[in-house]
Amino acid sequence: MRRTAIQCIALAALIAAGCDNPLDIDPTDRIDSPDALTTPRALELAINGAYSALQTAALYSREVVVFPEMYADNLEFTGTFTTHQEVWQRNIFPTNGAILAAWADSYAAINDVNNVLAAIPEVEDLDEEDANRLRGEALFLRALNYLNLVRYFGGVPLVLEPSVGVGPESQVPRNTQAEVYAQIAADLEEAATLLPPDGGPGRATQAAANALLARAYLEMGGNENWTKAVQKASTVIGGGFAMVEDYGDLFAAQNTGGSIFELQYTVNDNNNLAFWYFPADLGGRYGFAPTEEVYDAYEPGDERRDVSIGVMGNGDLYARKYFRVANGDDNVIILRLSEMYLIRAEANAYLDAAPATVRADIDMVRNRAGLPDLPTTVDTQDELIDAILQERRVEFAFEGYRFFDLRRNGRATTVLGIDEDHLLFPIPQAEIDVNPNLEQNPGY
Amino acid sequence: MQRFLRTIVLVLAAIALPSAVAAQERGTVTGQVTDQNTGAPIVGAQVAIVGTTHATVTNREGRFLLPAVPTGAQTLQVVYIGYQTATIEIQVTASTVADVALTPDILRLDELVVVGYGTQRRRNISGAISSLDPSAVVEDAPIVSVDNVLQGRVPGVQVTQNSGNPGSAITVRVRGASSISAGNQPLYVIDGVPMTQGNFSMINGAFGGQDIDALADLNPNNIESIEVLKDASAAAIYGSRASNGVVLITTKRGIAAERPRITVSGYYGVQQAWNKIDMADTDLYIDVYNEAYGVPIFGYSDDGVANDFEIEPGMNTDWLDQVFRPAPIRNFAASIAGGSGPVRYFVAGSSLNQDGIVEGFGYERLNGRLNLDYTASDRLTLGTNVALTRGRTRRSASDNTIYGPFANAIASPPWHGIYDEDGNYLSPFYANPVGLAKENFASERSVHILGNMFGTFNLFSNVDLRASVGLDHYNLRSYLYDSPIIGPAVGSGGASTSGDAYVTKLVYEATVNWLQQIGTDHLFSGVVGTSYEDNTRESSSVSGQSFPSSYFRYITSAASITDGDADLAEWSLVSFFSRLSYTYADRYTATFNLRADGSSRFGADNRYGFFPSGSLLWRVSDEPFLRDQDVISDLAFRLSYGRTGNQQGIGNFASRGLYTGGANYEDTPGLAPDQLANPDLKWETTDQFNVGADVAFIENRLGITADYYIKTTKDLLVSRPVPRTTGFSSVTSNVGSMENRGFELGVHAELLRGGPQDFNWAMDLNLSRNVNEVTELYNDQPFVTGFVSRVEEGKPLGFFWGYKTDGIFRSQEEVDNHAFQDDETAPGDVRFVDVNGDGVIDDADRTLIGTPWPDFVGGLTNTLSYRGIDLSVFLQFSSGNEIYNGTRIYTDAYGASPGDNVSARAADRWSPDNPDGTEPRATADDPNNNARDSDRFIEDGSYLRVKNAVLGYTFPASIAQRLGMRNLRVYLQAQNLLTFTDYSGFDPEVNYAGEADVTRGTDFYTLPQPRTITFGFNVGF
Repeated sequence: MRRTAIQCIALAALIAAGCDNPLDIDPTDRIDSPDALTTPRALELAINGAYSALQTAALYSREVVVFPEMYADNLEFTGTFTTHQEVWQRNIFPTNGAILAAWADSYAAINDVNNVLAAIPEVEDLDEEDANRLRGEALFLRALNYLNLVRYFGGVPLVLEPSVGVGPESQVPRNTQAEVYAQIAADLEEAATLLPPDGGPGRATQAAANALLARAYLEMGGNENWTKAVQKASTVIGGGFAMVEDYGDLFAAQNTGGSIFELQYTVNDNNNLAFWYFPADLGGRYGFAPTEEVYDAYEPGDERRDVSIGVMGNGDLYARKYFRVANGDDNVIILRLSEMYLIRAEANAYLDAAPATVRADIDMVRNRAGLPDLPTTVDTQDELIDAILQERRVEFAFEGYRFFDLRRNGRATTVLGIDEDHLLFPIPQAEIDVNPNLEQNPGY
Repeated sequence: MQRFLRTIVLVLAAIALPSAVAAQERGTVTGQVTDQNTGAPIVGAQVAIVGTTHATVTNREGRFLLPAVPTGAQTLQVVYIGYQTATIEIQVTASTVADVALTPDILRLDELVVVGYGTQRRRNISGAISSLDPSAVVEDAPIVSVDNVLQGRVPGVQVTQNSGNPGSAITVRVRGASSISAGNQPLYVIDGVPMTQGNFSMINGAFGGQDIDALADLNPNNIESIEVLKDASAAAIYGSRASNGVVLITTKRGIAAERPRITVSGYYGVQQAWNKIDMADTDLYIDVYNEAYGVPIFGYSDDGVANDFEIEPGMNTDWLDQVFRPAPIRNFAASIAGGSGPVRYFVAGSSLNQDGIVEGFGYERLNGRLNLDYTASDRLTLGTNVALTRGRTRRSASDNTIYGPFANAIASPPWHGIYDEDGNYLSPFYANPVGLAKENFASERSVHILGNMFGTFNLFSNVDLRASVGLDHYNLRSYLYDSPIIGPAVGSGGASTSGDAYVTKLVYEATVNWLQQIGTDHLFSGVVGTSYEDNTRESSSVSGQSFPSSYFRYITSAASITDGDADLAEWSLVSFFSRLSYTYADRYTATFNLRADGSSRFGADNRYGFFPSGSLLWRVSDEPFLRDQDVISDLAFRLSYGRTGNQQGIGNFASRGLYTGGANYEDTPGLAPDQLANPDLKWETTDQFNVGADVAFIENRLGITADYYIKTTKDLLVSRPVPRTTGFSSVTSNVGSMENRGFELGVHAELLRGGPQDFNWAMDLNLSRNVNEVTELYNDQPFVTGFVSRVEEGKPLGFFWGYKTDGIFRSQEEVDNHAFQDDETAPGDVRFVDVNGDGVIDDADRTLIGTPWPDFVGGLTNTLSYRGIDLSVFLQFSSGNEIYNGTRIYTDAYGASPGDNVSARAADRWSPDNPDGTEPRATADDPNNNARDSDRFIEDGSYLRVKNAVLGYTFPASIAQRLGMRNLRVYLQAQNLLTFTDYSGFDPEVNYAGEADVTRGTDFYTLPQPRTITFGFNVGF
């Protein structure tokens, strides 16, 4: 075909003959969007793409895990990137590129699933079971991304349809925080009815939807939501998961019985966490280091300390839950059983449940770490919340929890000394530049 | 394809044969061509009988012989570069003698100048074209790359060598930057074939912006002439790719001569760093960090105090001295030009070897060329040009990296050495710079085949048909190795990448050239043609890691394959073009060009772009009223307007909405949206107005060329940001516009013209001023890129944007009385200017703090000769540009990170003991963010550089001949001999991000150019 085309053109001055247009060239590595999601297999591939979209440096391969720890008191900045330094100094400029990347990557992942959601009814030969599961996975992933967004930024624009153009309709205003949470809850409630019970922890399951619901309801707060958080956490706890005996196995063995949703990494996915947490002598870049404070937060005998923190010969601390620095294939556990106990404990504490009930859930987590039960003297709501926060701090250290835990319980200003205006990250300036309908968060 | 070629050849041959039939009376014409001033014979002059195919070239004695010339009245024309063409009427008999004396002509008005798809007499050229004879530049100077030849030599062309990395790309801007992201490098056309340009490396990550460039494979020694087409009239015949100007390169060809001309040349020299920045010594380092931390963290081991870091007394490593080294450069070249009978040939070969001034860098090139011309019949000429190049670029991580030997030599603290007692590299913070240079490496090997075949058939006496097929094949093998010992692959047990790129361009072209003289006053000429260009790039790469030891360095020994990639990309261009030129009375010329280009890169509705241009020329000096004077020897005015296009820099499928593969999860394939559709995408177009004048005085001893232009670019191809809530960050669109206005001046003066045995002094000056302004952006949206570079309406492209500073606070009272900066701002911190006056220093106070674009650039060459001695001094300058010295973000953040050594400026930091210090205080956590993007690090980037100085001696002909040589010359040369600048960094000629215009003029750990001293020779046989 090419040969004919060349001849035709070279002789164009002589012959006005029809021939294949040599300017018609198709890409070899991409496909036109309208032709992309037209088969059941294509939908499966697109859902793979949506999981893959969580694996960027701004999301689970680094910053969604690091920033909530560094903005609080678990990690300190030891690197060179000013975008990271600003987070550590709790002085994030709206121009911070890492914050923009988190915003952009979350919405890219959301667009992935919005396309899948829109395509499912259009694809022929898709059997109902697959259609339900695909829709469930898509809704779960959309909710996960919105939960990340709403915790970073507060109310964000809710985009629920695939993007086809960039006209004025793309300049969406912010929804309220309540609206975003309502959408998260609605997506997850539906996902919980659609998703299969098994297939985890690498993929969304019914339990994963319920667990994420528990987390979302706890964040939303208020008696009604605390009650739902207790229900959802209990559903998951009673759903056949078991606390893995050795805390270290969560990370060393991976995909253990205590893991509800665990983002899978292979050598081809390039998880940056170990590289950025490890010191140079161990082959890392040492961009972030545990604070002395978090090291000291572990009670004597807590098995989790040495799993979580390593000490170099020169005294430097380093986080070592993610340790596969060579291949970058550490999974990232996004939801696990111990969080369900602690969610239930926290919600119960706010619902004024019996302190023993609350302590029993906390002790589940403590005992696994080789620690004794909490003393029964811990029995006021404040004391229980403090105990839960302490437990969450050491259980989930360097996994992306700490700042949200403090903020949710009204402790961020007192523990961290952050002023009220910096409890949310700034809306990225670059985004406001292209979308004047976006309002900046106060204080920026 | 072969069938097509065969058809063409057969058709041409069929038409050619009958012409050989007719018989006539014949005679022989002989003679000698000499220089009118000196009487010296001129070798290699072209001698022809006008209107016939009888032509030859003069021999070593300047003699020529034209056999079998039809008898009767004929016109003999003699053409030689640098002389006015001589046209004499002769009466041919059986044996005719015609001696011709040529007059030197520095303006070369009658010289044929290569223009797009043809040649024109300089006298009749109405567009803005600068010609450069590169021989004077490249024969003496260690100029490795063709783009470097242009530096400082051509008005309106600004050449910046972005770094000192050998073999890396060079920024060439013809009349400013007309595009934001569609690319601003000119189009290079080598003997009619648009050359593959750009960076095809498969290992780009670690090298900052210092890309390699396929253009580097062209050997400047083989170039006969360079024409830079600057205005729309000259360039529009290259249509869609001519917005940034066109550089036409013609390589040397064979000559018909009794004996071939053999040239041998070579040079050898040493390159050295000529400048070093002052970094702190160990004492100062300790003072700064201990002061910053408030406790003595660092101390000498014999000071009796327990410190976290005990430093061995006397340890004071100058890391720059550890990585810099004198680096040799050598070049050897030979060529033969000759011909006999119908065949003329030019054969050349060269070998270049250049080491970098830091270990790990280097460039090598082996180059061969064969240019053949074959006169098949009176009417048919066939020819071919083939150039083969084997290149090798050795690279180390550079610029924006924490693994670069040079970058880490700036950063590493002075208090430790290279090795510990066990011979391991010491890397207490960043990786040891010497270790990085010795253990990690990368190389790119290229094989570049550039060639074409062409045939010209003289259909009628005034109509030529020409067909050609051109090939540019570039094969690049990239190899990267990071050792398990030091650098980024310590954790992975060593890592390596091997990649290949096959880049092939095929160009098919057919043209009809036509020339018609009507009466004595009307001269018409024109060309129509079509071309088809097909580009493919096939590439693959594989990465692996975890090697048994640092002995094993290829992926075959890797424990795991971490990445693999293979890809095919293709794009094509179909073009139709024409030029019509009319000259009246040799004084008034009008030229009109039109080109239509169709590109596969655009949507079906916008594939074709039309690029018209027109120009007028009035040669006033040939008017009757100026004939009877001898002050003004030449005076001409030029006026042109036209349109050119640009389609560089965008993806091959930028208009289409696409899904991509590769979004894999759990090692199963995945699909993800990749790109938003923009079916309206089309060419970026530049409309250019040019007015110019050429004037020469007193027998052309002073010649001046001046041009003024306005370039307006619209429908800029920009990857414009879109709300990320769409799931995309940008879409390629035609948005915004930009303007470049400028003035350029070229002056050539023969101050002393004393003949070959006397004192001669010639001076060339060129001066260019270009003012760039971004006139429109999408929704007026500015954007920031690089460190402090910003693109905003009404401002020059990529101007510097940041905080203004106003010294430092001397007291708490000053802090309290100033706009709020931070709760912990203290005396000794930088006072930032509250630009908007709202009492708070925040993002809204950022403003214009500088521009990377110079007010003027230019060059001044003085060439002096006296008998055999010649001296040439070339000054090159840039004035009025600023540099953002980004390295200082780290070197001037006193106390921020012990891994970074501080500048020696830290000695004058503010402290209670040094209340008049001019530099900010030492602080570990820098609450005031003293190192933020501000004019603290903006510096005047103006410079004047003795770019080249050459002192040569040509041995007298008698001595040369005794040695069996035609000529012999030896010389001593210095490149970058002296640089006058206020810039505090290494080198004011710097772009950390390579040739990107939006981040121009930023220095970020960029390797400087060396000073090079060479000794060389040229011999002719």
